[in-house]
Amino acid sequence: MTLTLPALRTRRGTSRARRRPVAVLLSGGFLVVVAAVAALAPVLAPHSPDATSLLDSFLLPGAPGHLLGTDSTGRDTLSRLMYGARLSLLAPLGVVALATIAGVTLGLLAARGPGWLDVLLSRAMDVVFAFPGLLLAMLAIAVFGRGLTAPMIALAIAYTPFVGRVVRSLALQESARPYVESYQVMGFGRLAVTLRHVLPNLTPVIAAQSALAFGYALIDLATLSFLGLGVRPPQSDWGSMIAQAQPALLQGLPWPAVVPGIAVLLTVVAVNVLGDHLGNSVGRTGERS
Amino acid sequence: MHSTPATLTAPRSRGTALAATALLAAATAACGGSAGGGGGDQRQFDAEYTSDVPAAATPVEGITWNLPTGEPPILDPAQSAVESISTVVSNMCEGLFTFDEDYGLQPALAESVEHPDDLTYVFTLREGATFWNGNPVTADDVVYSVTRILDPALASPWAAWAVNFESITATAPDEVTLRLTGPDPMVDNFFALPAFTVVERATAEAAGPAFGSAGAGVMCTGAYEFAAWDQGQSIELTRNDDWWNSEAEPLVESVTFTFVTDPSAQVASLRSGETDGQWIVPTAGFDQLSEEGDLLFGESLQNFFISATDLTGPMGDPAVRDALQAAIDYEGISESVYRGTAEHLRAVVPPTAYGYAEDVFQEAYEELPQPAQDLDRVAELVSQTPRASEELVLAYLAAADEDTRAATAIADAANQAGMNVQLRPLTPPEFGALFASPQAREGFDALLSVGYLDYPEPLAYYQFFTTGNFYNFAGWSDPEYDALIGEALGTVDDTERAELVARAQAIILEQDIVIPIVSLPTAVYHGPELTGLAPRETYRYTPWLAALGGE
Repeated sequence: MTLTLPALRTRRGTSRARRRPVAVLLSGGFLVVVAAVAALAPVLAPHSPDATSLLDSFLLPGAPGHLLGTDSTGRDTLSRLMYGARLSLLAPLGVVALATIAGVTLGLLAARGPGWLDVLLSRAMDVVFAFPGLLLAMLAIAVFGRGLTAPMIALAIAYTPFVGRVVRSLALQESARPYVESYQVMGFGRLAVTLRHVLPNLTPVIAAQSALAFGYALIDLATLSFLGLGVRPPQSDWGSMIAQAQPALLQGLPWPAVVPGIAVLLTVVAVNVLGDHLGNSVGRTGERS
Repeated sequence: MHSTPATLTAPRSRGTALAATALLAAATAACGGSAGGGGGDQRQFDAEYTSDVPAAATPVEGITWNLPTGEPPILDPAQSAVESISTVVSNMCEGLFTFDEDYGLQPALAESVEHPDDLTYVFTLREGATFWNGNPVTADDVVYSVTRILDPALASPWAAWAVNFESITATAPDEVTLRLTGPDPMVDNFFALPAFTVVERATAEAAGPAFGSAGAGVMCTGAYEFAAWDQGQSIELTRNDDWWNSEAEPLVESVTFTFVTDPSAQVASLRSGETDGQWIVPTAGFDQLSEEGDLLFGESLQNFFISATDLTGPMGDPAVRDALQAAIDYEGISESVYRGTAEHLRAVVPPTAYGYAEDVFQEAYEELPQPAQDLDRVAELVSQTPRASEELVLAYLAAADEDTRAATAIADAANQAGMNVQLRPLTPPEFGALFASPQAREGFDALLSVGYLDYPEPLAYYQFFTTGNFYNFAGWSDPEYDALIGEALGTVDDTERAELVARAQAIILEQDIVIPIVSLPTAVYHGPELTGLAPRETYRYTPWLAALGGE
C-alpha cells in the first residue's frame, strides 16, 4: 500500500499533464463549429439574414421556421447569428493579425537593434499601451467615419504593445543565450539569426498572446457595434444584434439580445481557455527545458 | 532549443455594456416579463386618447424633465422650430398671443388686436408685463423682436411667415401696428408662435449672436426663467413669480431638463423616478410606463414620412420615388413598429390638421389611394429604370427605435426588389443638422423622420415645398404647385383656400417628393405624483409647465 499509492499518484499526475483538459477540447470544438458555421452561413442559414417582416417581429424561439425566433424587424435570429459570426470572428482576427505583425516587428527591432532604437520603441509602446484601445477606436471612427476598417486599424495599433513588449522581453532573453552568439561568431548576420533562429523560438508565446488578444478584440469590436459605431446596418455582427435588441428588453422580450449575447460570451470564453492552455503549455515546456 | 517564456500579458479587462445587456436580458428572461409572448399582433398597445386631466393642486419643489430629442443647440426663440428647443423655450418666452387647447388665439403680451382692414393689424400691448429683470415690455421691444426674426443673418426658420410683410412700427407707447402687402389668411397663427415672441431688445443686442446660448441665456417674460445651462448635462429653469398671468398659478418651482436620447435609458430613468416625465415616449416602453405612472395620449399634428433631400441622384427619377413608396410596409409600421397607435396616412398632412373647411379636405383625402406595400410594383418599376439600381442613401435617427425598425424594413423590402437603398443612422445632433444646413444633407438622398405642423393649417405645411422654401430640401420645383400654393396664400375664404390646397396636395403626392407613412399620437409620460398636463400638441408653443403640479 505504502509503495503503491505514491506510484499511482505519480501516474495520475503524469496522465493529467499529458492529456488535454476537457475544457480545452470543448473550447476548441466550439470554435471549430463557430468558424465552420460562419464559413458556411450562406448554405446553412434557413433565411436571408436581412429579410424583414415587421408583422412577424419578436417571434419566440421555436416559432415555426424560426428556431431562435425573430428580431424587432422580423429577421430570423439564427440566420443573423450565423452571418453575424463572419464579421464577429473575421474582424478581431484582422486586428490580431495586424497587431501581431506590428508587435513582432517592433519587439524584434527593439531587442535586436541598436540601443537607441530600443529606448525609442519601448517608450513609444509605453505611450500606446497607456491609451485605452476602445477610446482610440472611437477616435478613429470620429475622424474616418463609421465602419469596421478604422476601428480595426485603431485597435490593432492599441494591441501592438501587448505583443511587442512580450516579444522584446523574450528576444532579449534569447539573445543572451550561447547559441545566438555562436551563430554570429560563425558569420551569420544579425538579421538572419533573428529571423531564422530567434523568432521561431518565440512563436509559441506569440501564438498564446495572440489567442488571448483575439478574445479582447472580439469584445471591443462587439462593444463598438453595440454602441452603434461598428458595422453599418443592415450588416450584422453580434454586438449590433445585441444593441438592436435593447428596446425589446423593455417589452419583456429578452431573446433577441440573449442569443447573440451568449454567442459572444461562449466564444470569448473558448478563446481564452485555449489561450490560457497554450500559455500554460509553453510555460511547462520552458520549465522542463 | 526552446525558449523560456516570459509572463504572458493580456489587454486589461474592460467592463462592457455588452455584458450588462446580456445579464439584463438573462434576468428579464428569468423573470418572464409581463409581455413575454411572441408575434407582432400580441405587441399591440391600447392607447386611449385623453383630453381632460385632473388639475394640479399642490406645489412641487422641483422636477426633472427629459428632452428625448437631445440637448437643444440654442435657446433663442428665433430658432425654436425643433422639438428640443421649443419644449424649453415655450415655458420661458411668449408672443403677443398664445394658443388655447383648440389653437384659438388667446391674449398674451398683447391684450387685443384690431384688424381695421385686410392689410393692417393693430396690437394693444398688455399693461404691466415685465421681463424677468423687471424691465417693462415696450412697443420698441416688440418691434425689435419681430424684425430681428427677419434678419437674414439670423437664418431663422420663422422668417418664412413674412411673405406678405410690409412693416411693423410702434405707433404708441403701448401700440404696435403691422402692415402687410397683401391679405394673409395664416398670419394670425404666427402671433402665437415664435415669429412674434418678444425678447428684451437691450439684452439681445448686448448678447448678439450669443443670445440664447448657454453663456448668455435669454431675457423673456414667461412663466419660467432661465437659470442655468450646464452644457451636456442639464438646463435649469426657475418659476417667474412676477409673471403677468395671475390666473395661471404655476405650481412647479423649478425644472431641470436632461438630454437622455437612448430609449432604454429614458424608460429606466422614468421608471426609477430619476426623471419625472417627458414628451415623446418610446413605443417599447409603453407597457412598463403605463403601469408605473401616467402615460397619456392625445391627438396630434404629427406625421411620419420620407422626404427627398436630393433630386440630382436616383430620387430625381419619379419611378425611383414611386418604387420607394411601394416598398414601404405601411401595415407593419403601423401595427408592429407603433404597436397599433399610428394610422395609415394618405396625405402628408394628417386629417387631424384640418383646422377649417374639413369637408373639403376630407373629401380630397378620401379620394387619395390607400397606400399599401406592393413589391411586384417595385420590381416592375426597377426593371423600367436603370436609376433604381443606383445607391439611394436614406438617413434616419438611430436613437429612435421606431425609425430604425421602419428604415430597416423599408430598405430591405426595396433591396429585395432590386433597389439599392443604403441606410445611414445618425445621432441626434447629426439628424438635427439635416433640418438646418444644406451642407449636413450632402451625401443623402432622402430622410425618414417624424414631422409636425405648428397649427392646424395644411397650407402651412404644403407651403414648405414651394420653389426656394427653406424646408424644400430637395429643391423640387413645380410651377403648377407653386401657383396653387401662391394663390392659396392670398385667399382668405376658407373653402376656396382648402380647394386650392387640396389640388396642390394631389400634385406633391403624385410626385412622391414627400412620402407620407403614418400619423402619430402625441404622448406624454409623468410620474404618478404629478397631474394637470393634458397631452396636447400645443405644448411646443405654450407654457405647459404652468399646468403641471402635484395631485
